[in-house]
Amino acid sequence: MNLVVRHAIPLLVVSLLVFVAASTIYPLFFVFNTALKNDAAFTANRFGLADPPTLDNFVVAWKRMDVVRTAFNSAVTTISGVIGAWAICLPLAFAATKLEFPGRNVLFLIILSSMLIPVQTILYPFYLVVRDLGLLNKHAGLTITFVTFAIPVTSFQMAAYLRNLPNEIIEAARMDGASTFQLLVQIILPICRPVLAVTGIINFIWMWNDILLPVLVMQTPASRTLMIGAGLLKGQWGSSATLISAGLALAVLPVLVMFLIAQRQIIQGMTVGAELFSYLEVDDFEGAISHLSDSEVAARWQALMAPLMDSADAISPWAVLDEVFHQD
Amino acid sequence: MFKAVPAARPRVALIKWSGYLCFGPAFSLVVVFKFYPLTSGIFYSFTNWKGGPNWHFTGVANYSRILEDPAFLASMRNAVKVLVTLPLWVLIPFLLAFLIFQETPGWRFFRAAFVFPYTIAPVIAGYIFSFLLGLDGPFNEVLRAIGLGVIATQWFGNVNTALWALVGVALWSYFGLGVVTYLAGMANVPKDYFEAARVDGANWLQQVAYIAIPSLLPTISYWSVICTAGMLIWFFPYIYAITGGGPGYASMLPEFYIYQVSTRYAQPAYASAMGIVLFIYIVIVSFVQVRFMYFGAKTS
Repeated sequence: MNLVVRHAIPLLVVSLLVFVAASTIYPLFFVFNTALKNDAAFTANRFGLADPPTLDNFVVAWKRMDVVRTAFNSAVTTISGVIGAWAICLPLAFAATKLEFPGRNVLFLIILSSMLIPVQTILYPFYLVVRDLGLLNKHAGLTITFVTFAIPVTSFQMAAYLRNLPNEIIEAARMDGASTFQLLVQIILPICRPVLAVTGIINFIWMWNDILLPVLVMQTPASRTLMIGAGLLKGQWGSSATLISAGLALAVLPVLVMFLIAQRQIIQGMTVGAELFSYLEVDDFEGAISHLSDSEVAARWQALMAPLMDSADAISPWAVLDEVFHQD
Repeated sequence: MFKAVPAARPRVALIKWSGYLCFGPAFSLVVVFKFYPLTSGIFYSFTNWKGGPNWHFTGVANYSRILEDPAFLASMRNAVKVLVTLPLWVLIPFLLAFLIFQETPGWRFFRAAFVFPYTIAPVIAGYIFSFLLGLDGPFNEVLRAIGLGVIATQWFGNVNTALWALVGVALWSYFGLGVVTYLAGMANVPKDYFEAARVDGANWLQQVAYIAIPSLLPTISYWSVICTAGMLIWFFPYIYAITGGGPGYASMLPEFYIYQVSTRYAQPAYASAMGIVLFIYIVIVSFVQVRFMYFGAKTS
């Protein structure tokens, strides 16, 4: 009896995991498999392998979805959104954690509290602002929108990261006469590479995949993003399951390739992101580290970032620290 | 090299005005694209504005209209129903994360497989599942194969199942984020705890109940807050791609109804009022959650 239980439970556990994994992978397999059939083959055999596979659906979908244009729109707005979020949030997080000036905490709190205003609550007034500023149907418009909605989470994670950065490094640079701008570019930026990777990955995924903001801001056919194109599939193409599948497959392909290539970085990015975020969220962080010495904090910080540093091929912040301390 | 530093590190006093310069861009963006629309939305919500030049204040007319709008009321009821599924959102990722944490054979693969749906655009996930859960889709085919053919249905087209099918798809998209969040928390629990418990003869369930859950309360509460807030704003793409809120209002949620009224029915004042109601709802839910969870985590 005991023997049976000892062997049955691990088997049960693994089959549970296999079942869940199958449920995450099979849907995508189904889409690609369907896309490779023609309508007749799909009707005759909905679940079997496409045999012989055909690329006809992809050719039609490629043209009808205007993939070149929509993917271009998506790429431009997503990449500039990611970079814009870095450029806006890094100085913000730096000032919020390392500079002292009147009203700093209140202002930072106001910026963070904008998290409570998702676009769903302000749809029409938000649309009006975008329209009145002349930003409708422009790459700049969607980019600025993306950046605005990335600000709370991104700056929060950067602040959580920078908070543990020893102040000596900044003081040392200040004694050398560095301006805030020089500090940011020459010292904070290289140190922040791990957190830039984290926030970049997270922002890239949601910006590329988002549909509500693009639908509001990019309304003309020429300015549509890839996801808007995917969202129109059903309405435009009737009910050809194989054709729609081909469209979905095309829309999902860039992210799929990215996931397969950078899978480790994505998972680690999400992990570190969650970790940084939850520290501050439950206000556990000060308590957790207050009894530690600086070098212990530093060690923990390094341990937390280590996997990401390796995979992102980023330089070690500790190398930078050493350089700074050994300069004089 | 290193000076002796007190444990609590004081912040550095630097050139003061440069702080405002660093805050400036982010602050203006947030004000222009979030706080100003919120304020003007409150303003519109007390008018009968329809986009043209002729409008006047109508007091709380829009708000009393909300109370009689069957679509909006249905959407709020649905929002509450969705919130009731919170335990699933909290427990399923926890269980899976713990199995991965214990390095069940193949855990690296499983972790990747679980995170994978999170990278798929929700609108695309919606489309895919409208195939999979269709009348002749694989899901029903499996049900028929295992003798449960009677419950096979058009999952998104059935008044009784549409909302729950949407919840299932959203859960499919987001549970991987939960797994990763829990794994981040579990990495901070000293492995000796579990080792010691095993030596003392604690079984798997006891390890979960007496070690994993207590030491992960902050992470659990953090993830619950994320989910609670997310459930009010994550569903738009799925409704957009799959049900459009139907059949009837069976799968309508406030965020989608507001979108419909704003874009299709061109009633900005009324839509603004509903947006404000949703905003208040989100603020209340978030604050209750954070307080409740925060103290829950603190006292234990």
